Amino acid sequence: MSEYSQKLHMSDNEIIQKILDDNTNFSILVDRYSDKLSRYIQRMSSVSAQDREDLLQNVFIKVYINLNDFDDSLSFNAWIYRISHNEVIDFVRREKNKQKKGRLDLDDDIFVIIEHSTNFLSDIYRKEDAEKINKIFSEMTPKYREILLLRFIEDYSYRDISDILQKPESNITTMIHRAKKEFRKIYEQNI
Amino acid sequence: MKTLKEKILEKIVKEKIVHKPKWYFSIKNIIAWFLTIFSLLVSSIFTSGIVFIFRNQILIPPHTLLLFVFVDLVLFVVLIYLAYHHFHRIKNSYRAHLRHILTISFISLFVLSFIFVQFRLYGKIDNLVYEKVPLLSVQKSINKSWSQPELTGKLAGEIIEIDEFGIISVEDFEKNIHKIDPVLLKEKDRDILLEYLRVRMRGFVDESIFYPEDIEPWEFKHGQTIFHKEYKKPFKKGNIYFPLDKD
Repeated sequence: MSEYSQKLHMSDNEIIQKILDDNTNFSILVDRYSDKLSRYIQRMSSVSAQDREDLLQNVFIKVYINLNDFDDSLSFNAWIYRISHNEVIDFVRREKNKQKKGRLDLDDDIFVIIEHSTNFLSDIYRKEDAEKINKIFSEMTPKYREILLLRFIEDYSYRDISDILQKPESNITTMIHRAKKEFRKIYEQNI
Repeated sequence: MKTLKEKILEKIVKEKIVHKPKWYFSIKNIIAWFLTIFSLLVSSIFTSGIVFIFRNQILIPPHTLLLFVFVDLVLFVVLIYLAYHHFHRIKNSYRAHLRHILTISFISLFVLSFIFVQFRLYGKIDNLVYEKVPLLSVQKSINKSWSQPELTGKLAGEIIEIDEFGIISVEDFEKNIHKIDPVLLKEKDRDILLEYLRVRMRGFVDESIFYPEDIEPWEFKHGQTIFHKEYKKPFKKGNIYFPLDKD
């Protein structure tokens, strides 16, 4: 097994230590997270492929600069998603309300994932087609759409979502509850 | 065509991007803590200021009283907001529950304000403000209001002389000297003139003489004054003649 492929099997925390010793190891993190983050950014906002790549580049540069700020009590996963979240929010602010037009990729397995992750949505997904659900998500308040994405698509725990959005866990519970409620409301309006 | 990974690594090398050192984040965190605590401390001073103003409301003209309370309240709200703002910059502070933050803030505010009220800190700060920017001082407002007997019917100051006819000279806090005829004062009130160096009076002016109808010592509870030096012993005037009847 080559040295690079050995590194690929290391934990995030081990890689961070390696990066602090040797910058070239940063490529392992980029390989590990670029696809996931790219999908996340796309789901959160309607950025073009070029903007998405710029955003990703900014996210990784920020990760690199602030690597010493990474707190072991967090998961690295949550930390890098937090940076991406903030980067997207800043971008959307700059681009003025583009987030409202955010959409979901239809070519991934989102609906299967949601169906297996929730009870409340399962009946809806059995009945409705992807286009309709996409419409519902796009009409949702961005913060509620994002929290449903993180919980039911990215499959993050409440604790991780709390670390990504930098809100107390109790707020996350409430926000998910409200997000579900909003989803239902928009769904009912669309029947 | 370059991949994202290549672009990122190239940028890091080309722009000589480096990791921010650990001490940078530590200092940032310490500054956030410091600013949070500092904002809470200063907001407590303004809370104690509101207590101070209400405790001394009898001395302060009503319109100025409302203005000072309003200004203190606004500054208090701004500082509480700043404390909250800085708190959110503290690492992992988002994990704290809002109710815990509120409870700790209210307890800190209450305790600090209580201490500041006990030490009359607001009065002391106001003394400094009075020297530097008199217009912003509560003391200035009080002094002005008690130094214009023609306009307000109120006069306060230090007794500097009582002549053989019982006419009293009082120097107000703006250093003007007024002639006082205590003829309208009740006998028991005249004792106040004997016991205290500084007094406050309500009455009217007639032909440049102030006729007090009501008199109180300038000192407050337990012989304390808000702004001026406290007296260790009651002031004695010695052989002072007070004619009961001017005829």
